[in-house]
Amino acid sequence: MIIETEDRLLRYIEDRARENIKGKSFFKTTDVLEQAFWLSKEKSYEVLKNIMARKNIGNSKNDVINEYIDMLKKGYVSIQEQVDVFGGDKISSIIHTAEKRFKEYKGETFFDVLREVYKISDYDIMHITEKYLNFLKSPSFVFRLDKETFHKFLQSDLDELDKQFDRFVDLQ
Amino acid sequence: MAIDNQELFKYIEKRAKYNVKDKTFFRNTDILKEAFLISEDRAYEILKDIMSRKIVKNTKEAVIEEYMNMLGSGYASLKEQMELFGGHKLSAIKKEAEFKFRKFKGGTIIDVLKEVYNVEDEDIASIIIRYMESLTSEEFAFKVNINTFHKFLDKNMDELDKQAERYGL
Repeated sequence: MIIETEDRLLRYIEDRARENIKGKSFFKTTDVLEQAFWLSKEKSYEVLKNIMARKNIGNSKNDVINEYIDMLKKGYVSIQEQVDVFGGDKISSIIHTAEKRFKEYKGETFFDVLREVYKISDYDIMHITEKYLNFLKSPSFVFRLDKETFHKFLQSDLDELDKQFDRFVDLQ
Repeated sequence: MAIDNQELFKYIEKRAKYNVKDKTFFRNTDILKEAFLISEDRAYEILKDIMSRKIVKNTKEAVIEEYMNMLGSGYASLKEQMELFGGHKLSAIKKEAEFKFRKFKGGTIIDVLKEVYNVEDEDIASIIIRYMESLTSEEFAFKVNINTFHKFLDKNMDELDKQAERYGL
């Protein structure tokens, strides 16, 4: 795996882990690991034992997540395996499918892109447009609505990333 | 911004056509009144002048075209006609926007619409939809910026008028 991809996937794992435990509270450190990284009970205990053998970490969600991310970085577990646990590298598969669909695209407007390439339903279209436009920031009045920023937006919003992934999965 | 006569001429024509869009008229003077926002007396005067020279068809298009020809050959001043229309709204809007952008501290397109263009919350969705629909591209590359937004206003008289109202112009 090239370094760039590795960095991106690590960030993705971290985003996903934080999203998984957002707004939740936990009594046990193993529960944090289970929920954040979708580990089995046994695996969580194993990870925790490994951590405690080496160092003392705080009991907070953040400390636990940071420590496990650090272990991933150091090769304790394969990054690819952890990504697979989360259902794979969704953004790469979305970009790949979108590229294929753009080859057949004959539309005109931004809404045509969303409907025809990304298969977004009329029901979702305004909501996603609003979220996307709110994601784009500029010091003046210069915004670019394009593939790159749209995919960045999906990466920044795991909920929309999952929905887009499902839209493309449903096509197959 | 300097506006040349040709630009004024085009704007007058567009505005006149917009003013009579979807309306039906019985009399040619009514077409002139509505299209060019002139008085009844003035409309009669123009019509008399036309009829002494030629026969025009009884359609909105023909009457507007004839008066545009007259304006083109100096029958009345383009500037005065512009004033009847409330001035060149787009250039006034551009000026006001430029002034308001100086205080703008950045943000999203929605912030731009709210803070710079004074668009009310309830109008945001509809203006965004229409604006987005006015932008076309063969691929996924749309430029949402001050130029394309002002072009959008220029193409849509009703949005132009609404924006002029937002600025109290």
